[in-house]
Amino acid sequence: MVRIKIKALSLLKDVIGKDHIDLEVPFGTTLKELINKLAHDYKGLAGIMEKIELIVLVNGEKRSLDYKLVDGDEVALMPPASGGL
Amino acid sequence: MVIEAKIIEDKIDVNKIVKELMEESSSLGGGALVSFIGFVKGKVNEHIVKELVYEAYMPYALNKLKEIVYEEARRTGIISIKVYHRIGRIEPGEPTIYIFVTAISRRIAFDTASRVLERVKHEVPIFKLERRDDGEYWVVGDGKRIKRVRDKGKVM
Repeated sequence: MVRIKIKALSLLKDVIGKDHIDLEVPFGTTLKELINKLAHDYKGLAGIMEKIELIVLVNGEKRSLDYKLVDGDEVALMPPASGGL
Repeated sequence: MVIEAKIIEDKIDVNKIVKELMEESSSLGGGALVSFIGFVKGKVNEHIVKELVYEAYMPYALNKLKEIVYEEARRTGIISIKVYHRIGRIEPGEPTIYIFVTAISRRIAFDTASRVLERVKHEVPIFKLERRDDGEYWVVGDGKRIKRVRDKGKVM
């Protein structure tokens, strides 16, 4: 198994119910498979993904959906930024 | 060249920074300073805003902010760039972001300040929650607002 951390920002915190969760997923799990699992486990996530563009970063960087998660990865879920004014 | 990018909680002394930048830039050929300050609106969609709550995804937000400033500072004619983005609870009329650019010409300074602002707004993972007299709204991207329903643990 691979241990990862899911970091939720902005309205994704409300969807997940907290600002982060620790997860164990099988070796070889891709980012796409993880997102599908989260959308299954957290019913509000699919609805949010219909309303906004979901940004997913792995350790602060954009990765392809084929990216295979490794031990210690931090996967951040967030909406498009709203900084500035 | 003077470059600085910070994510901060408190306000800064604008006059002090402007004075220092003009003094430092003039000897390097600078003759134009553009400053931009974004502040919290007190009214949105006819509703009273109580405060904004800014959160940054650290350390990546700071890394991206620095990357933008360093990239823009490499452009011809730029003498200095300083950007400070505030986080935490900020009330209407209070500053949220400061951008200072000095350059060899006003056109370069204006253009660069504008470009830095747009890049910060779109590229730096900073998010805001708007607390108003009719509830709380997550502000997403370029001003889209999604109402928060905290007690039910979901969003509308």
